[in-house]
Amino acid sequence: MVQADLHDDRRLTAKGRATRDRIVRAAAELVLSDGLSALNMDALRKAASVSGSQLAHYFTDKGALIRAIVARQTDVVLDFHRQPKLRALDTFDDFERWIDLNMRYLRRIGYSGTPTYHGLAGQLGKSDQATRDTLAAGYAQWIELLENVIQRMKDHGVLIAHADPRKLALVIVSAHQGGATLAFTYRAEWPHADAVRFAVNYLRTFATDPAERVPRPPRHPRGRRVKPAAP
Amino acid sequence: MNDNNTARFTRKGRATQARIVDVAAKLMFQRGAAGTSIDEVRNAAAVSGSQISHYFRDKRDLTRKVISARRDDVRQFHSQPKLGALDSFEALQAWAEANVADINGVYRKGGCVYGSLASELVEADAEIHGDLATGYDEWIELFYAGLTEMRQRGDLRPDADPRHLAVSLVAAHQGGAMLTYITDSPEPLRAAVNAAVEYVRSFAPTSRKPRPATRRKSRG
Repeated sequence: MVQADLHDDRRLTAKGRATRDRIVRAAAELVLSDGLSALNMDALRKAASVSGSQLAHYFTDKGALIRAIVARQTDVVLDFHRQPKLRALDTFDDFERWIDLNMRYLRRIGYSGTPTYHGLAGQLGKSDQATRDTLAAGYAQWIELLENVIQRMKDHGVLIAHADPRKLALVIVSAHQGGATLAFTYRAEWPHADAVRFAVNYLRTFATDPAERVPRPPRHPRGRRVKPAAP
Repeated sequence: MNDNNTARFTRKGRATQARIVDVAAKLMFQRGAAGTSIDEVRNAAAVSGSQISHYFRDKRDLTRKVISARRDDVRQFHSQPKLGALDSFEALQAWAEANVADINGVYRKGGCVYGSLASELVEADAEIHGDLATGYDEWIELFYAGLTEMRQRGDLRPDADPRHLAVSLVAAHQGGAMLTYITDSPEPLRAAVNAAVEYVRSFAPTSRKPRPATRRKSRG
């Protein structure tokens, strides 16, 4: 189903894609602020400033729209991991940057108003099986991406042969999502800082180089103090 | 905290209220808080509309009472005898195993009874976030107390940070539960809780020389 939706996307012109993206973004924001039940075509038409027929042209039903919201957020997650700053994400230095960029991203989006994967999973996870399947497909892609980079770390001898790429990928994604859930509950970044630090330190326990196995302390201001902005 | 209006009910009244909260908690676990209406709770609990409004101001009030009940569930789970005071590697491993044992019966059905509420109510108001954070505080504190004990005893190295480890255990559990529910697979929760416990173990001293009790100030 995700596949079919993506094909639809490719058939569109650049202008069509932009319109479709505007609709999906508006829909994601509606779901975020008022819940899935608030997502009706009327509200969406207003929020995205499109006509009813345009809306119907891009999305045949609410289910397709929800799948598009999740697919869009999946791309946000995958693109995050593919940004040039993370290079091939196959060294411990890259994973340290992964921590920094995660924290920076969290600081940038704040705790409200921007769709996140854990937020969608939390808000849509119990709606119906088709939505859950789409969310699961997103997680599968994220896990696969990490599985591949961890396999590469093994191939390069950065990790010991005993390291299990799939298990490690599951741990990293789980830690990330759990940390985000706590961070958004507390409206504070320390839970996420602890969680991603755990993920990378755990990965470090499989390092070939003893110096890399040494756990690094979590990098976050304790409590709710806000770090002064860098000059 | 959100039970300040409970005192005015008789014992029978409190029992009825608790029964309705229990029914609501089960429905919310299956369908989510948003997917559970007051009407459905009323039907499932076989009570009248006036009874519902007698015990609960509104859906939000009911949701807050469900959060409170689920907080008790989490506390209860962690006070099973086999988990001890969560202050040894064996106890932490037993914790991981107790979670794994619940995967098919609980986690694949609706995720974590507590965490699935927290993750769904991501855009709720400050008071509800406060309720949920209080539950997490208590949960983290359970691990923190045990881990601090372990460090004082010398089971963990002085560089082990009990608070960081406690948050890691809870976060691993919460994310693992979320993925296990969404993907309908036992793998993520199993991998996550076991990894978190192994992570704590990685802070064990390499040579197990008994360490004299530290003169750290006694923990509150």
